[in-house]
Amino acid sequence: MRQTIYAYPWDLVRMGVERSMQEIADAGIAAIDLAASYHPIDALSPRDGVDLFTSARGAVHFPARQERYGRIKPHVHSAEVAAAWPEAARHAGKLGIDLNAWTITLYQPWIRDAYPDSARVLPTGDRSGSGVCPANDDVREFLVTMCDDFVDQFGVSLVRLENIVPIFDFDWLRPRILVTVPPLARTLLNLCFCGACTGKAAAKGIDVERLRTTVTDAIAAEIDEAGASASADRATALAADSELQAYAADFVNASTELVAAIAAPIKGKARISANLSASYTALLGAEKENALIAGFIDACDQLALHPADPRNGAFARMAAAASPPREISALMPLTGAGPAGPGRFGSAEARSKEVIEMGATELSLYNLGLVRQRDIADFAAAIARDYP
Amino acid sequence: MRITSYTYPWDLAYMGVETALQRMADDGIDGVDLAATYHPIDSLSPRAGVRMFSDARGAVYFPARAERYGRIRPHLHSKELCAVWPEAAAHAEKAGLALNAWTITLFQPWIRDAHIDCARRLPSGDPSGSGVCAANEDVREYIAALCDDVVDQFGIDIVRLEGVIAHMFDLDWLRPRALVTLSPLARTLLNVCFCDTCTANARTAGLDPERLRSLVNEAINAEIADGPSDRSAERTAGLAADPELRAYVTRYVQSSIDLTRIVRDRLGGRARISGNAATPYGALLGSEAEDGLLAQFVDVADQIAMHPANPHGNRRVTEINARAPAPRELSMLFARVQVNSASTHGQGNAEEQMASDLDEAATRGADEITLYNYALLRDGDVADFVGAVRKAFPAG
Repeated sequence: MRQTIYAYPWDLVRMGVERSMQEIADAGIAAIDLAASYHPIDALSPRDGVDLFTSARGAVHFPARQERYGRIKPHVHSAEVAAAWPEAARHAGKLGIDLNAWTITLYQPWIRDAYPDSARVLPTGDRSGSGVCPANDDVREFLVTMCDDFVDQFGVSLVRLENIVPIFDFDWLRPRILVTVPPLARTLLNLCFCGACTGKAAAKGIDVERLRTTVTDAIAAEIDEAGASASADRATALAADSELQAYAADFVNASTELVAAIAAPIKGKARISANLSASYTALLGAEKENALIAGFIDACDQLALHPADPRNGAFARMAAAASPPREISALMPLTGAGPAGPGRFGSAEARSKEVIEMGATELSLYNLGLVRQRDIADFAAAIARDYP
Repeated sequence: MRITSYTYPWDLAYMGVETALQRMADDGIDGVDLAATYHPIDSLSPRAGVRMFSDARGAVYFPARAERYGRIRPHLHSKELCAVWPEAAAHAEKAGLALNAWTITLFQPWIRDAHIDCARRLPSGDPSGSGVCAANEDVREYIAALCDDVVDQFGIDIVRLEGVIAHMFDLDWLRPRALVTLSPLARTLLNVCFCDTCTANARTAGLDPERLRSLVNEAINAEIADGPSDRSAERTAGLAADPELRAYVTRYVQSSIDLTRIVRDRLGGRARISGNAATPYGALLGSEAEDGLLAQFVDVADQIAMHPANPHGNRRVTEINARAPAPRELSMLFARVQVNSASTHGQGNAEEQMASDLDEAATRGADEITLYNYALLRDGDVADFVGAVRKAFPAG
């Protein structure tokens, strides 16, 4: 079983890049998944004394070369943190560790702040406070350029694209939602009505304003009314709306197109890993959605499973059925290791067993600086012992 | 029983200020707790069609008059939203609603961003990503001026000071990433601020903040390294026996009491002050010393705000309040209420929870129940809530 480990550049800087890379090698871990871009965070590291790292709106954490970018220029956190990247690349080469680029894609509030037109827009017309849209051409150009930039600079083996399929309320800031948002309303709230999405739909002859009204009426009714039968009737009616189906399919395809666009310039130099999140089964039906998921998996070299997603088994079967079959990796939070106790994802040992039985051949441990050194060493040793 | 309801200015703007306030009055609500300042938020309202509001670093939501402030100048959200306040003041009076200023105090990341020296600092030396320190003179001056400003402009009944005591070091962190288990002792110690103001004040009082910082950091690190163990109790006892640490922690709590007092003095009786009485340092201070601090919190406020999920703390505070020369009014916050179980989408315990919370309010002798939050709930949920309160506390 291959093991990799997520890591933050700021933790490498604080702990020492060479020492951290040596620690990874000593634990028998094959690669470091080093954050190239990151979202807002308050992270507490227990290493070398407790350390808090805070970033309010996310940033790019490698020395991106500004002149290569288009309208969206990378917002680099600091030269000090970005300096971890070249040093990590050098030591990775020496130690025989692969260097992967953990890349937060759409959850980049700094882009949304600087370029509000790139934000996803809820059906209500309200802009997301954090996320940008995969259909937006400037966002695409930025992500393609950024991935090409770090692959070119650092000889990255694998680009881990995180959450390139958006969810409307993913990691909201201090969220305040007191009403229950039923599954159908959630599905509809995931749809984007930004200028790029509506413009592309209108160009295809779709009546976007009618769709927007249909969608917002349904969301309001779902939240306002109780009862599964009304919701089922509503879902059936919406699923029969061919324009709505086409709109939802286009939004899923926007993410697939973005993965393919990122993969093209780095083909043969680095592989692409991505995960799936939002679901539109309620609107598209299982057969149509599976075809879209298959297209998404085809655009990747590796499918990443995230913990506790009930659809992991289905995703894994589809990855195995792809031609050629795609590698399956699984994110493994070490909240269950050592004294931390099982977190919301359950114990790491139980999760590992589950995803390995699904066909995962790689476990990506989460996260170097967030757990104690011995938790990583113990877990990695146990996996190596149990799944040689 | 008086009923008030928290409300966001942006939701009043969506719904129409006059319409929304009249509906509140018609629903049987007696007062509106309108946000004068707010922290970062992504909120979703089911009113007036579903609406989302997002704000990344917090802001001031009334037309604060910049010239009245010192070094920290209010960061206004937008003219459009600030315009809600004067309109709300006018219509609240017409509708017979009291107007209260819901005031987020220390959880104001925009202040921290603009004035990093105001940030709370963890024992590790790292500045908080969101919170400012109650001991900081600029923060104190700003909050006092802000409360004075809102009261002066709008004839406020109660200023609700939220979060004057930084009781959790990791309160509402942004996408928090803390994978190790932090023991109660480690959490308590991480709450202690080591900003320049706190350490300088400590030096002036003859304490050695550098020794204390080392002591605290060593204990935090040991707690994390050990994980859950019997050594935590032993370590707690050792720290609690350190008079300097006790004095340092006491000063930190008192800085929040002082801040409340400064606001009260600035208002000079033009509006009442509501606040919490709590400290996160019982393990270090012991119950007698902690009771003394709670009594001071009670003394500087006109009203004590409680939460039904904390019956032990409520009992303690109400007992202290009862012994005060002039016992303060008591308020109880009700959050996540959806009384009609048929409309709770499977939250089957809502009715039981409501009954339990009402019982807690009755047991503690609450004078006021505060609903969180008018526009985050559906119209029917609010009507059901008011009906349940009126049934439990009939008029007269």
